[in-house]
Amino acid sequence: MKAKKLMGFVVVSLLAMVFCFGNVLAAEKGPIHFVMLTDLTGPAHAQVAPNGWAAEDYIKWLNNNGGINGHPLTVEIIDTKYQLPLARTAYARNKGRKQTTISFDCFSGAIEAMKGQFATDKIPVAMNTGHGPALYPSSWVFATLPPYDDTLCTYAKWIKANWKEKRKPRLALLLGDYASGRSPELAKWYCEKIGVEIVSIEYVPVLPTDTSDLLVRMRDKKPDFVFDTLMPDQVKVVLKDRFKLGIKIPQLNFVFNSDLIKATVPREAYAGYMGFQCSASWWETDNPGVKLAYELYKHRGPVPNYMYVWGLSGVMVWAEAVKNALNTVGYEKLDGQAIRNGYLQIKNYTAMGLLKEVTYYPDDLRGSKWLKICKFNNDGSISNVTGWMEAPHNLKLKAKEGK
Amino acid sequence: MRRVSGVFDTSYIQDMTIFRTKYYSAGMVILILFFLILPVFGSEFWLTFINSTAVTVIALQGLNILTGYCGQISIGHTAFMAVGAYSSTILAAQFELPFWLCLPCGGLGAGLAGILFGLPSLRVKGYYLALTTIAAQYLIIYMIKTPFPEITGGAIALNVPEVNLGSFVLSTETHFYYFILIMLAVMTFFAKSLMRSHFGRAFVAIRDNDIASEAMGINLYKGKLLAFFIGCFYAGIAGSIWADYVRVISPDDFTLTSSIWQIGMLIIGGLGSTLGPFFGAIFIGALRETCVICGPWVTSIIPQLGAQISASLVEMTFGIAVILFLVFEPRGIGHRWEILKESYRLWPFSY
Repeated sequence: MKAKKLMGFVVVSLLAMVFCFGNVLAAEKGPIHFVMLTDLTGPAHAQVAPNGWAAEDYIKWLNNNGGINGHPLTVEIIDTKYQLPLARTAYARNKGRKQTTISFDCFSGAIEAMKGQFATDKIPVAMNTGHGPALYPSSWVFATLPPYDDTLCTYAKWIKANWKEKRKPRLALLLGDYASGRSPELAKWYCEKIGVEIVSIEYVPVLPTDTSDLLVRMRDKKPDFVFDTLMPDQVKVVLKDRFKLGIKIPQLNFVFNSDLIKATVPREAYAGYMGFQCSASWWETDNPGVKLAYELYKHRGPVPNYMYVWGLSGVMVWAEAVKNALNTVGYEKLDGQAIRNGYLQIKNYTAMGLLKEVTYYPDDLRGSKWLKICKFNNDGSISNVTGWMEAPHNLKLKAKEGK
Repeated sequence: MRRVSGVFDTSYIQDMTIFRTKYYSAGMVILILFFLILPVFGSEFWLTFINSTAVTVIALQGLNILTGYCGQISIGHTAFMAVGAYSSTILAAQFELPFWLCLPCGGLGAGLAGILFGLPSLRVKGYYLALTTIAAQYLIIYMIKTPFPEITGGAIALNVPEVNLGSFVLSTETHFYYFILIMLAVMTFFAKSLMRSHFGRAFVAIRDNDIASEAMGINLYKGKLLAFFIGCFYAGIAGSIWADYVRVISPDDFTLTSSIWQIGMLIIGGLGSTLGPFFGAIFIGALRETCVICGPWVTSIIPQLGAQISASLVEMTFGIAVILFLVFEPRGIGHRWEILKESYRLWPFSY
């Protein structure tokens, strides 16, 4: 009887040990950590937060589909409120973690301030913003879209290619009064070089209430086209003021936040407004990547907004780089250098059709250099004006020319 | 200077001593030793946090002199930090002046800007003076962004040259940690000494009743402008150190929101005491970091919330914490600290 009791106790203990520690014995694959520093509650959250949502949803979806090579993934979306000290401490906290990859989302200022530190620490950082000085000279910062100065070059090229008159086309710049908003000024030399005359530069405050004065000044310079780097809060005021003043000069936005514009601006005001797309977007419902975006977004709302789809393409590229690194060096050796090499291995990647193609070169870390122009029609629908156009690499060309 | 019961001053030197008893002195020595050896066992996160907070404390010491002691409200203090940052950077980058010259020049530039924008204090006070300092915030940032972008980098960014102290280059977090702590100690010492001098007593008199102080013979104009100069000098020094630390500066680093938060930190820490800036900067800095860390932690515990809602809940908690603090201790942490010290001394007696 005693022996039976003892046997029973041993069996139960063994079962308990297997239950508690069996995962160790079974050699479970270690996790890979995705850390995104973004702005969820700060001044840029309206524009930027959907990128964080996309990262969160996509990583969870990857996990539900076997992770990366069987390795589970964790995702941390850290709210730095667009403040450099918080970004620095969050980076310092995470950079020493093993099997961890970091993205700075759309924080241009922090990326530029810490670019040297990323190179010293050998930590490749993904960014979802188009800040040219952060990408050239190339170091350890990787983007998935052309910088905003390159978008101005692309627009100028398109204008010149379609210009029929003998005189030079005249271009006005309406720039958002913040760092990335003003970065297209770096491309003024290119516009002048190819024969597009910049006749007016106006700066729109971050939260404007009325922009009539600067629109009138701009109109008086008689531009043929307008390029703007306005965020949604600025776009809605400018478009309403344009409509009120009867300005019909073709205007193009650097990042086409089409859904926010439709929600906040009357149709008469946004009809004819153009914008650059660097990825497929929410109205292209035949696109497999856009279908995935709808699937991932459904617990948040019926239609994924533009920034969400764009952010999704960025996190897909990010995950692809980690996958390449994992395939090359294995889990234990997965570090910053391996992930950087993983980025450089990405060639002709399309992120399920969301992007035209992404390729990284040692001296060109823009990833995608393709843009297309889309436009609001009079009935409120959106259509493509152009196919994919290649964006010139402004800062690289500028350095070559010695400017 | 209040003394503990049983401690008597028998000479002027003893009367003026700040750390009068051996316990005070021992406590300071232990504290200094702790901070000196912190880089050995502390992680880079702590060094980064302490560096950012220490720079903020230097700026707040200046704001404390201006607002806490002299009673001149300034809601543009961050703009004067920008003046210091850009002045020292331009002198170092364009004119290749050595660091030890650029740093005080940055402070001087900010001090002179402070005198210029402090001139309205001769005619207005209170909320009207606050408005003029808000104007200073906008004007200074506009001047950086627009007229001379080829010198200031405009709205984009300005690279800051390396800090060379002779042949030694400050390049790591630990190097900046020791440098910033030394600067913090020096600036705090000067702030404390200033307030124990006749200038400090004049500032307090102007704050308490400017008409009476003028009747007593204090020159109001000189006093207020001196307060603006010294307060903004501190801001310029802090801005210059910040620029050297982060190596890239842009106008987006010096916003009106930061200026308002600096006033908030000073109120929470305690206006009119040298320890107030320490308490305020550490409290707000630590609370912000806790919120940043808690957001992903809340998401990991309740995944259904998602990162956005977790971050928003944590942000609300931050605001509630600040409000509750001000409700229950409107005189700041400095006042609570004084009560704590008194209680400790008198324990177990209540008075």
